[in-house]
Amino acid sequence: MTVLIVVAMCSTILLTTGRATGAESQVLRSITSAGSRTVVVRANEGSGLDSTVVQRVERLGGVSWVGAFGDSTDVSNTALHGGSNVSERALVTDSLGPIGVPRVAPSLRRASIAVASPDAAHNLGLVDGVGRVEAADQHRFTVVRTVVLPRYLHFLEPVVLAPVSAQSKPAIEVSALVAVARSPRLVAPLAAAIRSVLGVSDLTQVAVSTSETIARIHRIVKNQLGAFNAALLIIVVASSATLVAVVLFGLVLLRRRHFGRRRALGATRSLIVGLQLAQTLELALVGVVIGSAVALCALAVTRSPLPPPSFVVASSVLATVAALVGSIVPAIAASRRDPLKELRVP
Amino acid sequence: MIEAVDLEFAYPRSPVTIAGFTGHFDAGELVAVTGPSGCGKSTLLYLLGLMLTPRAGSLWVDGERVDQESDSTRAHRRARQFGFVFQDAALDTTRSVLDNITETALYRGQSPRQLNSSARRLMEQFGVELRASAKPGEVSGGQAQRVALCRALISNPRILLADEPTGNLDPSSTAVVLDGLRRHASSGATVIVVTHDASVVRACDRSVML
Repeated sequence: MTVLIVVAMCSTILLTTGRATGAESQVLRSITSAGSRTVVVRANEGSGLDSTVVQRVERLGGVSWVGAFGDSTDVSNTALHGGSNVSERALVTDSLGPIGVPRVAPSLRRASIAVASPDAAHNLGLVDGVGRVEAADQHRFTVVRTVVLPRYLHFLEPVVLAPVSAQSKPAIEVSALVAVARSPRLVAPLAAAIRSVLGVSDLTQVAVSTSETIARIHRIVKNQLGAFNAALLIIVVASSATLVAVVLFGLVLLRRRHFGRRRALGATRSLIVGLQLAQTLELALVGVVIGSAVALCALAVTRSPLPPPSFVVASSVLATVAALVGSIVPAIAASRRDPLKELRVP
Repeated sequence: MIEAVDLEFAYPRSPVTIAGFTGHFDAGELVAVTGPSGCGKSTLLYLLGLMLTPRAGSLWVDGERVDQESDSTRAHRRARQFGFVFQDAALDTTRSVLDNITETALYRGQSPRQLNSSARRLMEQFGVELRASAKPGEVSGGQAQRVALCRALISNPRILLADEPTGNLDPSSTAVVLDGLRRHASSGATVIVVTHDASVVRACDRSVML
């Protein structure tokens, strides 16, 4: 019976709160990917913002990605005379992962590899998204790949990006800086910190914008869904613990003679409580394994959002603890059976 | 040796059941406690077995006063120094006969498996060795009581208390149980038997009338 209750408790937690947590994660991921963690700095021409800012921002805590963008230059496809021009910018960064750029040139002068956004590739008429483009100053770039830019870089579209190392010398003037915070709650402090390391003498020449509103929505959604999940979890766990207590108490009453005998034969109260709790723990662990497996299979079959692994582990621990808590009162009741009352034959 | 001095006991909201009992039970003695129904024989046995706390008087085991000891200390003493045989055997119906016999090892901090060979010797001695793996519900009343006696004797207790151990038994099982009690007393233990049965009283060294 205890196993069944724990199975039901675990399944219910995972199928309700777990599912809601999975959905919450999806919603939050969606909000986060829309740019709730970005800080964008736009600089006027001649503001003095240069590529060395990337290294300074990299050193700040809470930054997951930073890149600076040089001034825009028009490039066109060398294979098409009279084709469309597309904006080309130097991308100064040491972290290429989020952009999907193959490698970084050590300096702007030697930059020859570039990537194009899908719109840029289309406008340039690049077959298969690759080809050669030429700037007005006849500097040529080989576009080696088309990359779908993350949402926080969509404001640059359509663009050809020529990656350059943040350590490149001499430093180049940049017109935009994008930093991505590790979490939405870090956006505001990160924006303040970035403002202090921009290295420009006239701050009126730069505009710092953040996704603070989206970050706030992120926090509100997280808090509200979190509160709902917590309330649901408390109800499920409390009901299950109560049910475990009632069932075990019933079993203790049914087996009161057994506990009276144990007391008569020399079992201390603490030993009886310990044995009861150990037995409940054993049954709860079996129930947790079965319940989690059943619930996760059910979620997978119905293609419902799966809770994160940490949630599954936490709910398993919680279910086990709830069963143990529920068994404390029955265990104490078992340890207090009176041998004389239980064993004496009238 | 166990000694009671002016022992008094009453259940809550009930008249006094044991009033000023004084007596001693020596090592090597097989003593019968007799008296009419309701006179407090079983209550006295449970008092002597440290399962009840007297309202007044004192109780001594091997020269140590035990009536004021904590519940935990008395439980440990029961596990280590006492053996009990109840009227209806009081076996755990969910476990095998062998497990029932070795159960008390757990209360002495031992592993029940350590007592398996001793349990099998006792089972042979009392003729229940073939029922080792049977559940108590599958053995007769006489066999169940012999199993209960094996359980009481497995720790070789200095004091053995038996409450109507032959109350439901046929003559041959009664003889086996009485022989077991007698042999244990002869080994130097104190054995106290509550009984109505005149033949059991006759088999004892002496009797105490309540």
